[in-house]
Amino acid sequence: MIDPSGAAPFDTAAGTAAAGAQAPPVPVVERAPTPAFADWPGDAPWQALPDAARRSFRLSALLLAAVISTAVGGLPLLIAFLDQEPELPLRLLLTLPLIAVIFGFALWRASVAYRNIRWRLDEDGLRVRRGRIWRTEVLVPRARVQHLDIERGPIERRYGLATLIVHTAGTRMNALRQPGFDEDTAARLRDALVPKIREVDLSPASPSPSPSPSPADAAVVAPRGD
Amino acid sequence: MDHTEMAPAQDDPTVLSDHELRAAAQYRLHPLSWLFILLRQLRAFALPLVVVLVSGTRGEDDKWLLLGSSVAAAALMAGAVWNYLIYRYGYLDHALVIRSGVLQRKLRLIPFERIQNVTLHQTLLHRLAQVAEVRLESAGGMGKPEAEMRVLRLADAQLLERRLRAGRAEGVQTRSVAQGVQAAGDDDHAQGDEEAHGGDALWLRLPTAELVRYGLISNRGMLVVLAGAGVLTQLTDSAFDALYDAVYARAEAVALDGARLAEQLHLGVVSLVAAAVLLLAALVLALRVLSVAMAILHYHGFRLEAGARDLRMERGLLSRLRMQLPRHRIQAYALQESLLHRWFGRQNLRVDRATLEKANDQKSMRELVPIATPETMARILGELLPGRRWPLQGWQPLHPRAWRRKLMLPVLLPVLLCFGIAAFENPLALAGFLVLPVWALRAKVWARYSGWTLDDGVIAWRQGWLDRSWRFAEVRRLQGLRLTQSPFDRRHGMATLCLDTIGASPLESPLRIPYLDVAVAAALYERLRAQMPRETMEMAVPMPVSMPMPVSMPGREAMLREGTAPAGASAG
Repeated sequence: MIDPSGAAPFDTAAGTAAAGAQAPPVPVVERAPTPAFADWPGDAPWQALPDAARRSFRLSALLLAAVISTAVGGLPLLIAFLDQEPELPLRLLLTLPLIAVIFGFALWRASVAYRNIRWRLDEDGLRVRRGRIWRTEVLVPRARVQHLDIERGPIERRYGLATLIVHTAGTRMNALRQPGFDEDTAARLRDALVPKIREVDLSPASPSPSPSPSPADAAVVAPRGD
Repeated sequence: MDHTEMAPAQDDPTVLSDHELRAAAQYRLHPLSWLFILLRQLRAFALPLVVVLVSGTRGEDDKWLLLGSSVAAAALMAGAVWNYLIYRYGYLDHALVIRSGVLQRKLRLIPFERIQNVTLHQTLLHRLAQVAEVRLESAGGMGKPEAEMRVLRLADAQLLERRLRAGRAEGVQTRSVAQGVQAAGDDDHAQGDEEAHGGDALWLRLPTAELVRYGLISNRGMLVVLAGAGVLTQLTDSAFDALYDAVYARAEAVALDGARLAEQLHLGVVSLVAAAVLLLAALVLALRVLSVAMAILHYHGFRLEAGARDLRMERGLLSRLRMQLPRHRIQAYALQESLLHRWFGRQNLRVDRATLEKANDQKSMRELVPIATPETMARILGELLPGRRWPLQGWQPLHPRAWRRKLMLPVLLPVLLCFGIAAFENPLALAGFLVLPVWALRAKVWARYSGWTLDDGVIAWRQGWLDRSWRFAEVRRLQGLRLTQSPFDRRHGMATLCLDTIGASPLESPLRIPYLDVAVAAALYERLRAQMPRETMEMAVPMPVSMPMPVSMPGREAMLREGTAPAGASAG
């Protein structure tokens, strides 16, 4: 929000008005029927994660690789060392490439994952695309958002990132969890996705027979952020 | 809702003082209710007690044990009687009041609208005493009932059920109309009855012949036998060791006798095989008979009635159950037609409710229509679905090569296995390939039959070859969409569309349409997205797209937090 060039891509008119004149017009997507899987992972309206996310993903992958290679390579080596086995150097020679492969694979997976994540917020809701080999596009409609969480692990804090978790009442897809957002982006995504019906609910039960919020009503109940 | 201490408000006449609330709760449980509470508590102690009585006879200890258990029993009884004396309930015109609590007193107000389900349960004992257990469920609560009333006179329980239903229906219609002061709980118990009973339609009754068919098809007996076997294996190294050994020895003796008999009769191999087949057939028959017996036990006197807002079910031979399901709580449907169903010309319908329920809860209405002819089913579904018709129209096929995908996956492993065995063990294993044509036929038939449709706000997926199943949901009940493409999908230009609903049972197949042409899948995804409700949950009112989105503002979040009770589970 502070940096005008990084103006949130999901702000509508209100957001851009606040962000200033030189901010690019907001790409709230106008029902452009982009054929899914045709342009993977997707251009302009689709947003990539910030560059810091790549580093964060890699660091997490390295940590995981370290744990796995300790279990797979390190512990047997240690046991062999303690047992004073004669073939220790040979084992070392075999283990080192294995560990190298594990680390290499982890790093490769992290960057592939990073390169193939796209997200987009439009009038329907939040969409997230993931995966290179197994491709997935998830849509959480705005009307279905139950509540939202933001998590910041130690690695993400280091890079100024956050994980956004969008909860729905569904069963198998009851939480869409996406790490690697800018802290700022995550916070504003959360605010943009907060269910609006609740704002209407705050008012005491109105005696009007049709409780559907007209745009004017909603605007009254939900004050603009300025 | 515990400890509701409502502050008396000056201008709102519907808010009553604490004293008035207490006064409103004027009805007691059945005078024998303490007995049923006691019985229930004793049931928990029954098994340990039996074990102690059977195994422990050691003089000195025995005396203390007897003393201890009598003290415990006396305490339990005192508690049960005390509970009866304390427990009161009563009606306001918009809510139920319950006073309860043995030591810690509770005064609860449960608005009629919050009560989603009223279950009346009568065991055989209850029926002899003409009483019933009442369970009130609300939306949240993780499957724990909002209140359990143990026990009411049957007439009172039915009255309670009717009043709740009438109150709920009324609440929706007249909530906005100004309500007069109402210190409820006079003798006008019968008020609202006619409203509750107007417009009820009997949708389904199951005569015994149908129950026999249901038992034959469902094969519940197998589950019982498996469960029994599981229990037996658990018991082997416990106090029941001796029992188990005895049974085993007896069975062995019988088997030996049989063998000796066979020897004496000079039976050949053929006769032995025939005997084995006969034995197997007898076993299968016994299982089916058990299944039929269980079907009759659970579903005798089954009635499915429909009011304007609720569905009601009643069933049970010895213990009777009476349940309700608000129509709007149905999230998704699973219609099934197994091979046996098709032979009998019947179908089975289960529904997902927006409730967290135990996987095998006997007291749930998941199995909405246990068994019915396709015509009856079409009538019932026609009443339930928004388009008012079943079967749905406009079924669309899968990708033309869907049958290849369906064939590959299940065949790959057996083929490799056959090759492996043939190469290393026995070339005869190649005979396993003879089943390949059958599998190919299955895949072909499956792919030709399976398909999807989006008809009148209902998205449906059907599949099957010998057996058939339909899985469908209203589009406005969908919670999320997911489009996926595996590498195999990509090779064929396919994609899979997954749809998420509330409370989808883990026992059902997911609402998922595989092997779609990728363009078709994308188009369907867009159509569903466009038909899903915008912004509001209950009313599906489209919100203006151009509405300015509120940007974050201090204080707003806290404000929203207050307003966001986990109400969502019930909505949608």
